[in-house]
Amino acid sequence: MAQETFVRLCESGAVHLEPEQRLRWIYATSTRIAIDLLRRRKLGVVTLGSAQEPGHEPGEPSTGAPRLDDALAARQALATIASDAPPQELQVAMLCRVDGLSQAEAAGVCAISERSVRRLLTRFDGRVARLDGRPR
Amino acid sequence: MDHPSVLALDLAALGGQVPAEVARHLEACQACAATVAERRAAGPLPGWVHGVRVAPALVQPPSLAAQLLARLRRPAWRLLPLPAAAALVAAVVLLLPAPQPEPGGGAVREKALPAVAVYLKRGATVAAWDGRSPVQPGDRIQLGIRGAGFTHLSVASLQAGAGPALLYAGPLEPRGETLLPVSFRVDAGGDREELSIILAIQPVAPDAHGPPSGEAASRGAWAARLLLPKEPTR
Repeated sequence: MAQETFVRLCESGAVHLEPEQRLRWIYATSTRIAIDLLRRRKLGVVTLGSAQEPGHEPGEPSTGAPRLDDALAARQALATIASDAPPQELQVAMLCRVDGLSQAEAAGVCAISERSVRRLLTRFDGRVARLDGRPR
Repeated sequence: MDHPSVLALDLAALGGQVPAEVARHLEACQACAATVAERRAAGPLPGWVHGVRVAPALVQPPSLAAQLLARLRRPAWRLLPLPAAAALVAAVVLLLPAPQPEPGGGAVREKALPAVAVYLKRGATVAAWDGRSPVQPGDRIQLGIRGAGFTHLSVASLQAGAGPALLYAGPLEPRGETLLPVSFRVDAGGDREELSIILAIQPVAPDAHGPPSGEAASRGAWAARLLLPKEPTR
């Protein structure tokens, strides 16, 4: 991902931007590349620590790891979100919920208004809630 | 204590103007100040970068670049918080290019082809099987089946010198991927696991796993055999 970001940095001419603009450009581009990977990657590993229920197969000693089917259900949910959510919604969600940017910072990176960031986050939360079966 | 975002720390490292609360935080928080110092120590972009020109012919098309990148494990991904790392790898490996099924009865089926995803649980990690690596005794295997219009599924273990051992038979979601409600544990015997998988538009008889898969296809079913090499027991 770093290499791809670097290639695009050179290709686009963004390397000549002012440092602060360049930094925001890198955040925006690397997040888009991450989303592209998320949608295209065919092989991967899921660490079971991301799943929730510490259940175990009968007769299997407890290791603190969640059950296989729970992990795969979580994996499917993530895949569903990745395939269904529009790229900009995913971009804003990753910036705010994963990288911990404020809404104002995400707005600056994505070159959209803070109001748009809030709207996209609300849609994303609704999408996750629907997957969980929770009311919005 | 709420720490500034990574973007705010990066901006501070660049020496740009940061909000007053970030500046105050950096004076009080050793961890964030150390992060900024570490990033400053990395130095600016080397001068030669500004002279780099990427020839169009050398730029990978997005799909190729994505394929290339997907094969590489980037340290940066491992630095992401867990939900992000999980999200970034949430995908399935689709195995076994399917023979063209010809289901009878004129049933309307999904246009996509059936596919089998194999998930392995080893210790605390679940991975999509890469189609080559040997499984180990104690591994748990779970299958995800893309039904592509078929409504019934049967899975059997094929063992040399014995008849097929039925592992699962039941309905299949015709759309999307169905995760089998059971997982299989790899035992210590033998040097491989061979699974026979049959998809059909009606319940599959247990003896259907005996003949070669081509015969199942000729009966309007979709059949595949999965061969998982097994790591020898030490």
